[in-house]
Amino acid sequence: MENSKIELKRSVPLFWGLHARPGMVFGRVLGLLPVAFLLGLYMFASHSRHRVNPDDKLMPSLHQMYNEMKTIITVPDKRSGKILFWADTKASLQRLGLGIGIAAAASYFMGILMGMLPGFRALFAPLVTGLSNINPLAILVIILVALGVGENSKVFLVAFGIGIPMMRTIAGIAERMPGELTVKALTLGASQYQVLYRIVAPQMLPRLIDLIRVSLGAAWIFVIAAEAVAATEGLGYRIYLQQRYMNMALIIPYVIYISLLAYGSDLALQGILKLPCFRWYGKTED
Amino acid sequence: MEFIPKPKPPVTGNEALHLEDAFHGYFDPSVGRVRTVLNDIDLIVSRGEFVSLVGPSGCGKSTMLKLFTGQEIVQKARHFEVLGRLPSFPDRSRGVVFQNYGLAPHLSVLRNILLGLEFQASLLQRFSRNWWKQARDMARKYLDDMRLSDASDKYPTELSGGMRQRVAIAQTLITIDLFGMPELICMDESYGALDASTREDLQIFILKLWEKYKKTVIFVTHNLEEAVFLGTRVVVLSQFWTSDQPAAQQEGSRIIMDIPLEPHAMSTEVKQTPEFKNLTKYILDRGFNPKQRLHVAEFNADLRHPNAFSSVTREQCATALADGSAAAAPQP
Repeated sequence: MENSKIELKRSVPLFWGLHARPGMVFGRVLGLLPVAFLLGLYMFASHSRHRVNPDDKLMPSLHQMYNEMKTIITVPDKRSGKILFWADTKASLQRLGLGIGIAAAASYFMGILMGMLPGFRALFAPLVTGLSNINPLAILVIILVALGVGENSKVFLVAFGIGIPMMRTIAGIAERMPGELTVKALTLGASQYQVLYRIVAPQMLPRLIDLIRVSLGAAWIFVIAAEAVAATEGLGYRIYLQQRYMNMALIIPYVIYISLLAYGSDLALQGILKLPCFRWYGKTED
Repeated sequence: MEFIPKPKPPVTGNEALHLEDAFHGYFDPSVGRVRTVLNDIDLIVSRGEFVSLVGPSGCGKSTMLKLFTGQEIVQKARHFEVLGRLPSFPDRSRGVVFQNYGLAPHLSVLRNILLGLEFQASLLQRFSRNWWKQARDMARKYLDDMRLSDASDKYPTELSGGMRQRVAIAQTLITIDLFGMPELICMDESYGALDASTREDLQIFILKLWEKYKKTVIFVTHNLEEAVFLGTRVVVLSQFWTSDQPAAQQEGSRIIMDIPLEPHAMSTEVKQTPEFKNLTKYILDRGFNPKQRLHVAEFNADLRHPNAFSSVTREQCATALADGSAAAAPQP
């Protein structure tokens, strides 16, 4: 076959059509294009506005944003002596983490029990279904009145807002698990509780982590919303406070910062799922 | 001519399965009533028998196993005992190897095989390092027998169908050595996904294990050759039968053949002998042909096993009795 050397190449489009292969480098460049375009548009608009009115607050320049952020990160607050940026970050992350932690623990435990034990399901499913139809933001006022304006109400809002749907989802997954697995474990001599904690619970763990990832967006909404209503520090609180002064130079970087935090926590959770103990998860199952 | 259905053999108390006039079915929403799957099943299996259960697709073999393991409870029966009692929910006395494997996806092959030992270990054993060493050695031996040594650290999703099936088999059988359980082993087309060579290996393997421990095996298979080679008895469950009753009462499957098999040397060469081939052909022709349905009056000729019996009624073979074609059952 040595003399049959023919050119085994065909022309592959870079961008157009079903067969396009943008490739690594060009693909990245493509992805950056719309971002760069919007950024450029903003900077142009901001520049135009500043030429007319140098004190324009609505569309701050990058330089203004930098200065605002530099102040809030390096200069301690006069009244509390704290560096507000870190205090805000800590407060918000703490509320978020506690809320998600409580939601995860409760939904894992209750979800497995509701999914696997029909009696438990009959007892709690109607209540949980009812609760899941309540808009958590609509009862924010009730929560504030009942639990006060402190940390409890904010953590509760997050835990309630994402915990109830998570509970339903876990219960659904556990319920749909192939019954053969349970029967097999029982015939191998497992007790009913061993079926729960040896067979079902470990399988639900990576699914729980996936669920947290999905719920992160909602959790952030609840944190920011709670902080907007009643708080003394927190990323959401700062944004709403600065809104009074129309201080976009701080609000816009804060929004970007919150987005980055959300993205980072998503990456961290993805990293957990990549651990060797979850190697079995995410492979194609038939 | 006097019509005598094959009578019930005396009950000795050594039965692994004891079914008489068992009916089972499922509600079919499209017709708005229960559709019979198992129609008047009579079956007695002594402890230590190796029963090959064969039948056309959809005849209810898997349903029958579900009744044995306790996943479902029989709907109507004069007698229904598994290991001496009405089967309760699944437990370790009745093992099962499922058609679609039923492996724990989050455990490696080795851990899957150890699962049964882990569940059945006493508190003392659970804390004994020696016992775990023994258990792991046992698991490794099974891995070797199943030709799975290289896969011990893989997860079920990383295995081919045949490999998963072998893990499922090892999982069920491994507890026999250490705990003497299960006493009844239900295998639902357990060898279906195996290649020819592994299949013969595992046929010899299960026979050796059965010889050693004499547990009762119900081996469901689509492969008649395998059924005749492995079993001490072939039971044919089929929906292709007929009687003189209205069609509504002919729904579902019956046991239409029950043939004892000669014990033979454990060599796969026996599959090439003419007797062997004739028998598989005979079963195929009579039990699996939807166009030539066997009449209940003819069942007796094929219910040859000493434990086989059937409760055929006079109404079911009225015409056959009238024209004298119904053969009188052989007296026990």
